[in-house]
Amino acid sequence: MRPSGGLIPLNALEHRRAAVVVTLTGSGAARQKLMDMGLTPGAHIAVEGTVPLGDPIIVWVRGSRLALRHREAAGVLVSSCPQQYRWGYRRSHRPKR
Amino acid sequence: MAFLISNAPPVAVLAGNPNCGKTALFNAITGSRQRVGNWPGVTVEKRQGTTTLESELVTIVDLPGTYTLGLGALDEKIAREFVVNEHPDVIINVVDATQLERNLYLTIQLLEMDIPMVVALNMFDEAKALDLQIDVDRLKKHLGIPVIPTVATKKQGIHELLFETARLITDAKRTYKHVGRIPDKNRIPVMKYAALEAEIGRLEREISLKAVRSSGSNAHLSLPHRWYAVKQLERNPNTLDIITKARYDRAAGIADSVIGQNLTADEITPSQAIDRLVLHPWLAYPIFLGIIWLMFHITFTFSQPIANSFAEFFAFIGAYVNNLLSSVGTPAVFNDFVVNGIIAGVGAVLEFAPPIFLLFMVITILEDVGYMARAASLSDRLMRAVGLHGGAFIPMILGFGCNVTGILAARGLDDPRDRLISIMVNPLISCAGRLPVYVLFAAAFFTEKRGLVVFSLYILGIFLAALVARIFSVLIKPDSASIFVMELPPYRLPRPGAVFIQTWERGREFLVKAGTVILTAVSVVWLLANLPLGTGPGDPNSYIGRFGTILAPAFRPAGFGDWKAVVALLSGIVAKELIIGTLGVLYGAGTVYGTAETGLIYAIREAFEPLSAYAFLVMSLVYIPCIATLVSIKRETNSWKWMAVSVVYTVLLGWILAVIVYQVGTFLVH
Repeated sequence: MRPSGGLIPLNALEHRRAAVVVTLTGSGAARQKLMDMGLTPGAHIAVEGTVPLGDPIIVWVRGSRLALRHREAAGVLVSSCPQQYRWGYRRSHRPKR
Repeated sequence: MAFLISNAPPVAVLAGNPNCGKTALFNAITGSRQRVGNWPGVTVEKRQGTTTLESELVTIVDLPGTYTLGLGALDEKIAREFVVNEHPDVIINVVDATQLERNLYLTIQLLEMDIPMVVALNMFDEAKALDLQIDVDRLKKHLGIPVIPTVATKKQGIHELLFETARLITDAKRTYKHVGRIPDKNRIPVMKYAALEAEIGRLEREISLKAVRSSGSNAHLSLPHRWYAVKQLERNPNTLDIITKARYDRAAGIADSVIGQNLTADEITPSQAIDRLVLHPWLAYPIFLGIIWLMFHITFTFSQPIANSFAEFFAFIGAYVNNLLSSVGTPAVFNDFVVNGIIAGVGAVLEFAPPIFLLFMVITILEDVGYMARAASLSDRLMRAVGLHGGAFIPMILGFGCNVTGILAARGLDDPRDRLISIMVNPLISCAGRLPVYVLFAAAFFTEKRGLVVFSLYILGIFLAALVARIFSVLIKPDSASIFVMELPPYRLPRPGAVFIQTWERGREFLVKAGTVILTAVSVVWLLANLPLGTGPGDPNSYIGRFGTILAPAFRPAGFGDWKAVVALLSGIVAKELIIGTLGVLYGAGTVYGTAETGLIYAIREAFEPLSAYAFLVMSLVYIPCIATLVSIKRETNSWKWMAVSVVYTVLLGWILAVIVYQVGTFLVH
């Protein structure tokens, strides 16, 4: 799986589109919290959908699901891949070493 | 290595992510041999127990569940500092086998501390069901430590896990005996940080040198010097980025290498299927409200018969003791103190044990199932409107049981400001202790609409909490952007044993309060109401009567300028549920129980009118949280200032609202 698209914020990512985290724009404790939850550069990620009022969004990263707000997701820049994300922990998500 | 030097039993800690089944494993290991205390300085629960390994007693400490050992949230800090300062003899790292990658991120950080460690690869049955074929041997090789598959809820693998733990302890002892010192701490590092290695090496030498110079030995540095070097680099945001990424990449690499499965099937997971309903665009909020309604319904309906039998029991005991004492011939004053002071007072409090325990049980089940994380996400949008975030939802809900528990639950919030605001507004949530006050007055004055009156007070409390949260969030400037990131754990069936234990622990605080603070306070109130000798309850010349008489005029604008009402409010500071008991004593209605309750209803009908009764209820809701709540505000914020703020703002707010209710009401009636 190789990213091909340009940089877009995570909250603008098409639902279910597989993507790779490229960089985080935030700083301080908020940035570290996101990274501790697995949103580090290079992590494979996808947006599953949103909760009813449209915020927070639900993302898949590192085999688990997280709820995070648009505001924070906007600070996570990703590059999308051509294929769809396969839910759950799937080894095939990863590039062959 | 505390036990090598002293003769204290060896200490094993359980460390792991939230939702990894750590508590279930703790219960499986220690059984009933456990107790709950607090971590020093904070009121975060510290679970500690013992077990016997090869006829040797071992202390087991359950660390708070964390994703990392970073410098962030309180839970992380507690977990990290315990390992650094107390230096446990063994770490049992509980890893959720279905979430290997995320869990290994913590495992790697624990490995860097270089303390003997064993991994409990928990929920192994679930991983099998998901067809994740985990190669345990390979995982063992990658980590360089024993890995034992376990299913804590079914007590599988516990024996093997404890066997490994015992072996690690014995090994440490043997090494100590042979080498005569604690095993060399500077072995081959588990993590290499490519670009940072030169800097780490430099810092490590610096730390070693400093350690030797300052004390002649490095004994006070309990962890490898490399660990301190890396910690130092974690303080710099740029290097912290590199370190975090390197650890996660390593975790991902290990997870990839040990998970054999390579499915390309396209189906959704069971939890996603459930969430299609639970987070459905149209159904989510009706379901949410339905669950909250059901929670209160179960709490207050099911607990009613139990609470009634409690009441009957205490009435019986009171009557029995009264007869017994009379026949022995003790002074009437003493009998009155025991029966109407202590037994009636404590009984009045214990009557709330059933609803409180039931509420905590339902909340625990909802947490166990995984619904609370969804509820937090669903309420985030609403909570944000008042300056809080979804995570603050759980403390609020717990506040309906007992504000103390609600305030303790706020520790789960990462951001100090979110935490402070949640703590400060929690007392405005109507706890179970206020309910009987509402119920009594509603029954006395609003027979037809009593349900509505009680409901209105609950809503008023929520509204005020929102309003005050909004005000605090404007006044207290954020020092960093607070963020909402919450894991949505897979749905799981609740485990009866764990639900029982957790419910008990949460409710325990309440029972302890009933047994200590309230017992003391009840006695003091009784004494003040009956002294100096010759006066009695209902006498304005008693000490409490004099005090009430001084304060009473202040409440005349609110319609209840009677000193007895004021004294009832004063004793309500001890615990809000005491308001009734005090009114009972002051109006000479005797015990509040059984048929005698009608006596109290008649008495308050004489003393209040509907409008002043409602003003009194509003005051009861808002003014000074009870002593136990104040104590927890002090402890959790670690500040007398915030405790004082909560006293002052609630008294002012309560008084203003009560006056508004009474004055506006009087104006409208005329």
